[in-house]
Amino acid sequence: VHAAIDRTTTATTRLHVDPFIVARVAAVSGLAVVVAASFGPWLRSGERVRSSYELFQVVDRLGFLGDGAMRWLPRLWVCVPLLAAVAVALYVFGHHRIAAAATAVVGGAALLVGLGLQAAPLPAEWGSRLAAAGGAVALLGAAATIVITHPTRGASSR
Amino acid sequence: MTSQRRLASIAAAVFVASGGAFAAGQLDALSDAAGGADTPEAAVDAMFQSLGENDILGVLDQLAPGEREVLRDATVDYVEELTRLGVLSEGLDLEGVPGFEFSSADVTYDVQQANDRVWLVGITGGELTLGANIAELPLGEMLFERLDLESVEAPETITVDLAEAVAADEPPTVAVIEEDGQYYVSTFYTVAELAASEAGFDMPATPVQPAGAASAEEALRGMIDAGLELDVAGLIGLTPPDEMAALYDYGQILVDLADEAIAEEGIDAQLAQLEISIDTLEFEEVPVTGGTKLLPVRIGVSGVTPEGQDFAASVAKVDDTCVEYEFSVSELSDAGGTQEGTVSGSYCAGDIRQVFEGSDVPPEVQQIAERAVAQLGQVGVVATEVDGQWYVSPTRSFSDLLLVALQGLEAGDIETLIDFAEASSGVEVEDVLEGDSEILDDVVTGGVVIETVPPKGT
Repeated sequence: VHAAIDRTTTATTRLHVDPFIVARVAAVSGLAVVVAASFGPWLRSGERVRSSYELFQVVDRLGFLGDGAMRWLPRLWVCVPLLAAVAVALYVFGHHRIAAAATAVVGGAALLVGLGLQAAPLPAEWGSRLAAAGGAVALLGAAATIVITHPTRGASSR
Repeated sequence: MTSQRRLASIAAAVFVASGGAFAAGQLDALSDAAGGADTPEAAVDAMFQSLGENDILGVLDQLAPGEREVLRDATVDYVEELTRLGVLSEGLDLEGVPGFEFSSADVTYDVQQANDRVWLVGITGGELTLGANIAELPLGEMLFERLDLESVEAPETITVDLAEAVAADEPPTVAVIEEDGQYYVSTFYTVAELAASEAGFDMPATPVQPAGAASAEEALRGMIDAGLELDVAGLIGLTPPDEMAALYDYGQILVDLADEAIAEEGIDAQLAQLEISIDTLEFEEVPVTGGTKLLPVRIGVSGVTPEGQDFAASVAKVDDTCVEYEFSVSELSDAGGTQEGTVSGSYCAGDIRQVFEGSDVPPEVQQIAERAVAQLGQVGVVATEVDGQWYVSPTRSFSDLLLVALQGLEAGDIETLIDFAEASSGVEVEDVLEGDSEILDDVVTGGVVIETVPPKGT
């Protein structure tokens, strides 16, 4: 009986999923989706589809973003892969909270830009929707990483 | 450090380095890229490709910067208004233009430099395929139903051998301009070159010089003064030098032609006998996309006619639909006294109905006319600022005029006007549209059709 109880306890322990790991996996997965989707098709113009980078270059050149703060959007957007890579590196090196903050920035930007494009009078392609979804996952993962304290490391979660 | 940890560190470093390199490259491209192409031929090629893909963003990207800004601003406004009126289909995106086919293959060019920034690209060979199918155009349901467009037979798609066409005539020429090392197709230069060469002129060696004003109002006043003095160079010099660059480069032709006509007709001598001055000129400034619209509020002129009559006229805006006017003339009578005549009053949009009294113009058409007159209060002149100087933009002003006219219409008005036009002329619009394949043939007049493809399903 004792042996059976021990096996059950071991199985329960094995099945227990660390929410801290889930949060980080969600954040990193979301980042990966955002970066991959940013190179996918975002907008269709006739038979031509453009990635987010091609799209921002052309709308910037054509002046569709005006002269206000939106003018900075293409310049900030090209930093998404870099910021995502920095966030992943910070996770690897254990700087979880700073990594989560960087993830939140990338995820939030992807969510806003991806959703914003759906409202535009232009046919948005799957890349923009996938980026928005990835951004949402990354944002949730980042929020969870910040909120959840690691059960074993506690204060070591920087 | 474990080997797993070391591997993760290396991977992270590679990711960061890659992301950094990508961002640097993209930022460099963003700061450098101004659209356009690296050579004049490439600019025309890219334009053909964008047209072939119905890629309106690509078309705009290949256009000369001064021209694409005007087109960009106008396109969005027009699509919105035409969709509201049911002329274009709901949910139309600006990108795809179904029903229009254009493609090119193996196109060859002959490039000639016209001046330090303008190239003329002659199209000397290759194949061009053209097609237009009204039934597939993104028009609104109202037009489809009213004009029975679905029954309009699709025309054949035709392919033209450009080399054979060129052998029979001058090669079609596209003007390309260079800005900051990039080349762009210019519609205005193309039209100007076509008009100049048709009239037997070459591009003048010296362009007209811009002479902008310190404010939008001063620019318009300057243009009115230049008009009264028949100063064509002055008129050109007050148009935006970016958007109207072609007018500046070819403008000397117009200046010389105008001088010649004025001298031949003795217009300057006639004008010398006419004294006219603008006493009052008040505007309301309204910001519009790309500039400032000057709406006239009060205009007063006076002078002396060649016959010695003093005259004065003034018009003042009361509100958006009404104006007050006064016109007076005085002249010396045979008895030595002065005879004066004055006409004054007010005119409102509703007064247009008097014009239709006793006519068989339907009441709904009269209502449309009344709304159109009411829109006159929104008609103005658009001025733009270029490098700190103000200019009057002819294209933006004309575009705004059309937009104001569209804004005065309501859904259903187009249908009413079509009914009225058909009833008045006795011509069915459907019959006109049936001849669209002939129109397509006219477009490629001079071309040698090497292949015709019947419409699908026939």
